[in-house]
Amino acid sequence: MRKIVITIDNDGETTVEAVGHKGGTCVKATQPLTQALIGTPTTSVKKPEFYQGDHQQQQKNTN
Amino acid sequence: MSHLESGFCVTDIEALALTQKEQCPELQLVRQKTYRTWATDHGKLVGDYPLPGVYQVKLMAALKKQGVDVHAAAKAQGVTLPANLLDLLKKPWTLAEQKKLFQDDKFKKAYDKLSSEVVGNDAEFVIKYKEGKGRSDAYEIGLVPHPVNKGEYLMMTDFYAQGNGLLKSPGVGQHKPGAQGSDSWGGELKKAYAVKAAERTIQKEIKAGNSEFGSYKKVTLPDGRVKIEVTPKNGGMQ
Repeated sequence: MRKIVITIDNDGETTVEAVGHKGGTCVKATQPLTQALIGTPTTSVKKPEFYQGDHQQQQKNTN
Repeated sequence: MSHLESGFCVTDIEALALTQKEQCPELQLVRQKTYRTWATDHGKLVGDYPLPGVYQVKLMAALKKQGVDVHAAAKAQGVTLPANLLDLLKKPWTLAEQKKLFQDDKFKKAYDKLSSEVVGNDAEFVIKYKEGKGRSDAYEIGLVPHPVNKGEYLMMTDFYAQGNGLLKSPGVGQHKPGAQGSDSWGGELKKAYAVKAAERTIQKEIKAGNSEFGSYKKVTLPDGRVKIEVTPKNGGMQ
């Protein structure tokens, strides 16, 4: 099942994850949220699923 | 001081204004260019902390404008700068590296100029005490425009002595020491802003008909973190 999960910790650090996406669709799915919460990304951590077709991606806004 | 910090990025000023109004009753967000810090009070930074990332980028830009090959000059002092200098925003150089850089007078002179002329004078919006609230010497939170990305701001403050009381104001969140360059402050405000910015974005995407945004649920976890799950229009089935 596809979904987007946003986690905001007590210091305001934000993680945006796309879960269950295939191929490169996660970037498109999370783009509005990463743009709003993280700004223009400088760091993108791609999980192994990115290269296997089932795609999960995390991006963070840190203090 | 020079306890000036933050790489926290704000992209939705309206969300920040709403958050501040809802949870920081003593404060106000105003359009203002200057934000008060030790540097604006005393004319320069002390230099006991590394320069925040946004000012490292500004310092490098100033030197490049003078024709300095900053990568070569830094390397001569034993410091490797990132190929893309904007990477300094998220991974600034350390205090030890800064001390090495300052062995080259070009870097030290540019730092002194930036410290006295730019820091605290480059905001577009400021969060500060309302008239009659807080200490008369309280510092302020500056929203400094991102060096490249229009509409994005870096949240800056001087957290020395809790920003002379500012960070003790309800709803802001006090300074918590970390390794130099990784101190945190303003957690309550940043967290509430992030939640509001996320919800506003989700609602906007739902309204715009983005198929990845069907519905969402928000929960507060036992440790205080907030988790928001967005489900696509078709329920997320492949």
